[in-house]
Amino acid sequence: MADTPRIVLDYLAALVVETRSPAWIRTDDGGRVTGWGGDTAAYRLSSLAEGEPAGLVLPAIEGLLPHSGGPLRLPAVELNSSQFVDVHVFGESEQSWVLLTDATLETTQQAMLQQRLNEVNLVRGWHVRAADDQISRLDASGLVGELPAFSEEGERLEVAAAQIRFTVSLPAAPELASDDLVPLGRILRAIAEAATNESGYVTSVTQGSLSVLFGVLPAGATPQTHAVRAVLAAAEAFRTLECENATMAAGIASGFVSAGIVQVAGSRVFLVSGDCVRVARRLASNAGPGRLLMDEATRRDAGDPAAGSVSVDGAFSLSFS
Amino acid sequence: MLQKKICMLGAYAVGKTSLVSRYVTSMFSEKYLSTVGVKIDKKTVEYGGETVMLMLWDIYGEDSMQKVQMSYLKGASGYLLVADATRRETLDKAVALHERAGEVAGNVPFLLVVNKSDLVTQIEIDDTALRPLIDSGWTVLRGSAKTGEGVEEAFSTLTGRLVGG
Ligand SMILES: Nc1nc2c(ncn2[C@@H]2O[C@H](COP(=O)(O)OP(=O)(O)O)[C@@H](O)[C@H]2O)c(=O)[nH]1
Ligand SMILES: [Mg+2]
Repeated sequence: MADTPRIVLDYLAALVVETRSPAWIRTDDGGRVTGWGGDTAAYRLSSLAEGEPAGLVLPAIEGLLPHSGGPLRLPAVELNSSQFVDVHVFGESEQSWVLLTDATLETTQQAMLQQRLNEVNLVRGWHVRAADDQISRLDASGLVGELPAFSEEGERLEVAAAQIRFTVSLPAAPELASDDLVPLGRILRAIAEAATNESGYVTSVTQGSLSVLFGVLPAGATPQTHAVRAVLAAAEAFRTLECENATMAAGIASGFVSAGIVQVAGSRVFLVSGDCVRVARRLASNAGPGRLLMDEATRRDAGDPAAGSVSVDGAFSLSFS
Repeated sequence: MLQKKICMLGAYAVGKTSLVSRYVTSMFSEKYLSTVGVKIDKKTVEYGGETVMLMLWDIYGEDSMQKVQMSYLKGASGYLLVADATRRETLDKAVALHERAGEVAGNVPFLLVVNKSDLVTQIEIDDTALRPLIDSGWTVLRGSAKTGEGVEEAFSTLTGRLVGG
């Protein structure tokens, strides 16, 4: 900042005063208040008084005074309900300074993003676990978890629905040993992981297929791009597992769905309805082993048509319907 | 009156906020409201004839986007590591946070709470996973912010270490 002219520095100071309500407290070598100033009213520091231990005035600095060493910064300390302040502590042991700057705005914005991100990550974790769980119980019913409230109301969403089908030859029921199910579990887990890594939302898991929606959870690219990538990644994972006599096929269809969370018998269920879910299922059942069928809209919006010619080591090729 | 700063450390959504609110206000909510920054709660307790004011620093949970700022630990007398019994990876996170915390807070008392023990059918952190930590001298408690199990015990055990030295 040495080359910054005075006028710019003054402007910066004025800007901080205007937008951040700075307030300062000075303390002695025993951490007791010797002075204060700035916008202390903004933080409702009621017990601010000469000689008072600063830690009583502001619990966040309890145990930090007298200060020594480089400046210390405690970001986003919640003060009064929903007011956030950045706390800065600096100075020497004979005299320490505590500077408060308001951080409510950016903290509140960050809170919204963080909330959503954490919920999405929790849901992803549940999917992978649920996939394991479903297969270990050989339960073919839909995946119903304890979903967080990331969408209380119904929403109309543009999605790409993917249906990934697989078959594993299993011994007939009487001879079926629990070990025989291991490859099945592995495949299911690999596919679920590939899908959730592409921000896919797994809506149902059965012994032989997974239904995944793209466009429900926030993601960087178009739902169609993520869907195609997920299928390719699943195919790649599938190939690496080297399961004997196992096949995989997939279908993707795009369109609008209505989505929302409803309360069913005390638990929350995420419901989706729309034509493309059915279309994806039909495409998947028409796709031969190692093939992906997608509708025209998916193909158009998946971006780079090169994806259409990708062939995963010969084991999985794509074709368009 | 003695004042002691205790930090809550762990991955996101393991129940740090819920443990503090169970301990301070005896309340629990199913709703997940992710913590940003830090919120400081106080609770006054009696310990061995002494009155101790605990300052509970409920810090945001570490996630894939942001690491926990260790400056929050400056001046802490101890910390509570929290893991979620239903998410195995949260135990690794707790161990990693413990290592980083030590660099700032020094060799202060801590203990590990494996929370959400009420979700018995979903437990992923079993005794085998905890064994190496216990063997290396950690105090590990299972508990639940939802039922209250182990909560009082966790905080009072830690307080005992802070006050009793
Ligand atoms: N079943 C159960 N749920 C819990 C428990 N503790 C917390 N939760 C839930 O887990 C979620 C995250 O809790 P929270 O305290 O916000 O976690 P933090 O991010 O670590 O502060 C919330 O939905 C809580 O209701 C517990 O002991 N049992
Ligand atoms: Mg929290």
